[in-house]
Amino acid sequence: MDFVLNTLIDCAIYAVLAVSFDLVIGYSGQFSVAHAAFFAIGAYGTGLVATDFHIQIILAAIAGVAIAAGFGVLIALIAIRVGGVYLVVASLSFQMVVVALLLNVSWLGGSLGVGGIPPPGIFGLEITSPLGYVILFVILAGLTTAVVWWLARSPFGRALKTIRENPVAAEALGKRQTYLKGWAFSIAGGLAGLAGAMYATYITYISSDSFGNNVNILIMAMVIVGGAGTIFGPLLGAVLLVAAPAAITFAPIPASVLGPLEQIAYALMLVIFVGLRPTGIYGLFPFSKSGGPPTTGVGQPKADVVTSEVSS
Amino acid sequence: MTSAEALLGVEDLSVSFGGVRAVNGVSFDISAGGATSIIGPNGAGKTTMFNLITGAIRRDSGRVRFKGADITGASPAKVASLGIARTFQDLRIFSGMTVLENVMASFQHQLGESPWAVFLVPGRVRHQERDLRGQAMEIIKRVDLKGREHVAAGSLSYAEQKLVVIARAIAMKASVWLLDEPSSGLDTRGVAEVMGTIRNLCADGQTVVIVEHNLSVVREISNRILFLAEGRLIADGTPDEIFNDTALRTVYFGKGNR
Repeated sequence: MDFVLNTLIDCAIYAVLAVSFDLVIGYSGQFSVAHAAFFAIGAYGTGLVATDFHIQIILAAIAGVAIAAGFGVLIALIAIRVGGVYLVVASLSFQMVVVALLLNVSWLGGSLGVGGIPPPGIFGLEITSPLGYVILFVILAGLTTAVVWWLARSPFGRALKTIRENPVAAEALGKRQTYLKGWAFSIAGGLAGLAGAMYATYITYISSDSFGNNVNILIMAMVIVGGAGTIFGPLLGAVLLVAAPAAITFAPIPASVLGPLEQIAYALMLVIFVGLRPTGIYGLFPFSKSGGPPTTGVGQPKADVVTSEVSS
Repeated sequence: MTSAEALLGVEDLSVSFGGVRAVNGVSFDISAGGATSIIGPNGAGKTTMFNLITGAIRRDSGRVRFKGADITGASPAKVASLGIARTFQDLRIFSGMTVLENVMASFQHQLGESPWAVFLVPGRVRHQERDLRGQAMEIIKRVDLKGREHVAAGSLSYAEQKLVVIARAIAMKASVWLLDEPSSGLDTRGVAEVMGTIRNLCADGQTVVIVEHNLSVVREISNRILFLAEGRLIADGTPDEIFNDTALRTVYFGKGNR
């Protein structure tokens, strides 16, 4: 029973990560590869604030979310200047630097990580049972989905899509890239920070190896396999990619084989979906047509600079 | 040179790309109303002129003025919000969005583009959305795209995509229209429709500036022509003056082509 509940908890955490990442990669069309870093910043922010300052865990979690959102603005500043492949490189460097700092700076936990993080609670009420976590985390995942869904179908979401579709035309139509990207990255970063806070208060001990690049690949796989630029696709992808490996552990395969097998399966799924079905699983459903996938194709940021038209 | 009533003016504008002076000390004023055509051979700096006016590229020197204010160095988004609509030769429609979304995204100063407003005053955002949706449907009807509003813009024909571009520009409610090659790639009927649209705009008191290669279009619709060559403004006059200029005719239009 606990196994099922733990799987549900993982599903909820990854759902928050995948749905928020979709705001960046699916709606804004910005190929940033640093979502695991925001996840880490939220988790460490929550854990460090809670253990160093001994304040209420909910306040620590809010601090963690705010710090992650702040770093989101930093990535947005990069995304305003560079796009495409350069953004991939810059964001990936950010990811590497964050993990390296967490591992090597002693007041950030260092190689020992951060332990003794209290469970989620408010006014003395604490969650201690797995079922309590499931209820809280499913509610949080639901709220995250609602927030992203509400934003995506608002004029803000529409303006984000214009930047994805054609940034030069978007600017010429009065859409301010700085403003829109700034918000998209900080909201997505803050929500990834929320996932971090959830993870930290659930696992109570965090270390940098939980936030490596393999987590980035996993989140990306969830969004792309589920369907980028849709809300429910990433949700579906998160549940699927958490539940399927969990289910496979029941199969009579030795654990030493299972780990590598999982990584190979993620990679294969990514390749298959990017190549054959860029609209993801969600795109298979007939009711999903209205949303529309990014036409640029998530894997191939369009080179779109003004200099391509200055010749005449 | 700068007259008080000029709506849009550029003054001694220059820009270089590498060693090439794409626009070299160009000055002109455009007063409100009517259609002005910018013509000239390929590489004359016509589109670059649009890019400089809208802030899409930075000028090396010179000024741009709009409605008496200096807008030199303003971002393209700022220039658009002030009331200068600009279209692109390669259209740049939002292919993955519906025609309706393309048009609705083009309205300026939308309250719901602020995430704060989306969550804090959802009622007002919804109210504005409903209003803009109605206006967008009107515009779509006006450009003859009715029935296509929920189609992804990228799946339309080229001529229809050009109509989406016009619809987007109408939604901007601009006072100056910079149209880059409005008639290119269209058949005779399409060209006639585009010319009709431009005439209607002028009749509405709008100010239109077009970059155009089709000289019969230029001759028909414009009341003023600016002739650029190698980044310099070499002639400025009415269509009759420009087309009867012997020097220009031999160099650019070719003998007998009139």
